[in-house]
Amino acid sequence: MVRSRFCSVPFLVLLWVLILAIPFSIAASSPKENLGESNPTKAEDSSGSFGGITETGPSWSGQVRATSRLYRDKSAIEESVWQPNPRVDLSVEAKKEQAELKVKFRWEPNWQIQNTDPLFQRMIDEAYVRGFLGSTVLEAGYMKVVWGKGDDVHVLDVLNPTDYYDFVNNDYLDRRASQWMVRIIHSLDDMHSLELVWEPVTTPDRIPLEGPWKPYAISALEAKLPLLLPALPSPVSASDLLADGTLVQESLSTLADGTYGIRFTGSSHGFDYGILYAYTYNRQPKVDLSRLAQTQKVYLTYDRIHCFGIEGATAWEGFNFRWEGGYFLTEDTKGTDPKVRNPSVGYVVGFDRDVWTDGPNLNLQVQGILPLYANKIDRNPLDVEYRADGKYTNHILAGHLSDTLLENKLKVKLSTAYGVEHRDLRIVPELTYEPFDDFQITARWVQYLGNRDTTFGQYKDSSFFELGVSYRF
Amino acid sequence: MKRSIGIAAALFLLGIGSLFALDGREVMLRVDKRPTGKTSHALVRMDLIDSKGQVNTRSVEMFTIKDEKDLKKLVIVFHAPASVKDTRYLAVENEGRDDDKWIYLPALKRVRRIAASEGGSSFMGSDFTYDDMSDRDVDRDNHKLLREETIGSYQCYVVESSAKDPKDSQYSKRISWVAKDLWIPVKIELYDKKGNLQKIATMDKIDILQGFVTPLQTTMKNVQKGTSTLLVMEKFTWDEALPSGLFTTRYLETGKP
Repeated sequence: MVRSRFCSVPFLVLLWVLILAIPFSIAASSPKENLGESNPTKAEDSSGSFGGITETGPSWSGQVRATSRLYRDKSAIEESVWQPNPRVDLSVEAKKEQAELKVKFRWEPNWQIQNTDPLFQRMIDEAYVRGFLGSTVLEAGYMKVVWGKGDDVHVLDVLNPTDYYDFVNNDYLDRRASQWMVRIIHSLDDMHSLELVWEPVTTPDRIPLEGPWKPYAISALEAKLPLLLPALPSPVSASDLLADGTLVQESLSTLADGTYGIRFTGSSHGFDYGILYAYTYNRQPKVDLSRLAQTQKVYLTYDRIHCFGIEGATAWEGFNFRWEGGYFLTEDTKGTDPKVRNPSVGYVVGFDRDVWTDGPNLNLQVQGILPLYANKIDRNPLDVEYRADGKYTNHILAGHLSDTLLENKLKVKLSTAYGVEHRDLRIVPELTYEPFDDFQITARWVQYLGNRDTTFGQYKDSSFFELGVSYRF
Repeated sequence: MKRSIGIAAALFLLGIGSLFALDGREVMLRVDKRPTGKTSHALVRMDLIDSKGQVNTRSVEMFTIKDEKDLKKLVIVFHAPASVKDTRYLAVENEGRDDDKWIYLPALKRVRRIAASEGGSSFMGSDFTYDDMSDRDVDRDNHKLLREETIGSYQCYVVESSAKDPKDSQYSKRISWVAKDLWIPVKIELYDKKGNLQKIATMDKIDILQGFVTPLQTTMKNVQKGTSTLLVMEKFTWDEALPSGLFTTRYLETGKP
């Protein structure tokens, strides 16, 4: 089932880890790199290297956080209105001349109790080795890789699943889950590189079946199933159905279910550009009721996609422009199969700039997803993408305005995301006070608005105020 | 006789020439062309002193390289505090167009192009901006030699510089005290867009390293905010053999040249 599909994966990838770890171990006794061939004079007496490019050896760093959330609606959480949420991150690195190892541990009891992944995946945020072979970098392990030029908003970042248990987290990478993968980056010259990625299996998005971040689609399914299967109790929970086998999540555990990607990126004459292709899955499940009559089971399945993408960024007149565009080809090439999503195109266009020199920074981005043959979806209520309101395109206008005050000790930020078609909204005013380096006190209000079947409106009962402190080391 | 006239004429012309040459632009050109190494590598400590005297310390490592056209590339690696550790910055000077600038933020795991105009932003929350840390093309400014003056032990030319295109600079003007014997500014006053004195930079320690004049300690004082930043070169080398892969976006992402 869902939890067991990863069982064979760690062994396979650990094999890669071991292969790549060989240069790491044989380089263990290498002396520190001496970049100076000209016997340079130092400003002050020093022995050894500067650090930086010559840095080797183990190091560790991390962050301790303690936050507490006051939920607007008591029904959003089961236990109490105030929900403490401690978290500790610890990153351990070991570097040698030709290889390095990085492991990021994560301890966050509230998130880990909800999350039903294996313990390894709940405790390890990332764990990978990186080997340097001339102009080629090899990486293997449980890791996160970001594709696309967007700022926290992407359509081409198709290599990692989204973690909806952590959907409200501030940091983009915290909203992404790691994925077993092997990655090769080959530098063609100083400004151009070719990247190859192989994921032995494709991990679906992590979607909570209970708690404040349970999507509306799950609630709607829970309400609908007792009508379709009268033998089921009412009300029924998706987690119970998953446990008793009535709800079956498609397994993507074989090598045939892997993700393959290739990306070329470069920069010249003030433009950064990239072109990519990925053969992967749409990691969001869809509900397949087509076998209900025969099997009395409901299946959560995934669509294979070919992703073709282009990306770019440039700076002009103080604006940092960036864009991504993708064509997502499914197996329903003509939009006639109701069990398979239609092909679609997606894009992100955005910019940021300081409103005035050293003043507030304004960041605006538009993300659009447009399924093709939407008229065919609209004609078939059994289509997996059918919506009663007939709105199949999805545009999100995301922006934030931020500034620092009090000699850079106070950061003020207002973030918004607005769903254009469905008029739903996420708005987050936030204050961060840093009385001294690495220690922060944060207060933020996260408000969701809109109808329950919309991206942000589905969480409107989970709006909250959060107060937190954190220390980095 | 003919030869003597020739020498006299040459001396006369040289004298006239040097008199005319020592206008503001020539002073700043000599500063710009002051011999330095092809590469530099520095470990820099920055003490940020707020208006109440509280000190926060940052640590960065800076690498520069000049190509055959004298165009510079700069890499800055942030070591401390922990909140900015492993952030890396690359600036590539271009001929006839804005510099290319990228920053790698570990929190985003992505190399991000940033606009040249963001050079007016504070460098790590200090009183320096990114532009303050970079060289500026002499001919982007008009220069006027104001006077000669002695500061401490330095005989100086005092030169006022203002951007030819006012939008091209975060300052309305800069007044530099250039040491005659070293061709390095030992003091710079920086005026805001309204023409008010905003910051004063002073070179507190200058030394000759590997035959090159090298500023080793600089203070930037923001007289409007009451803050100051002490920038100390804890270690410095010229002409170190730096790998070319250091000045690439790949280095920003992997930390390996």
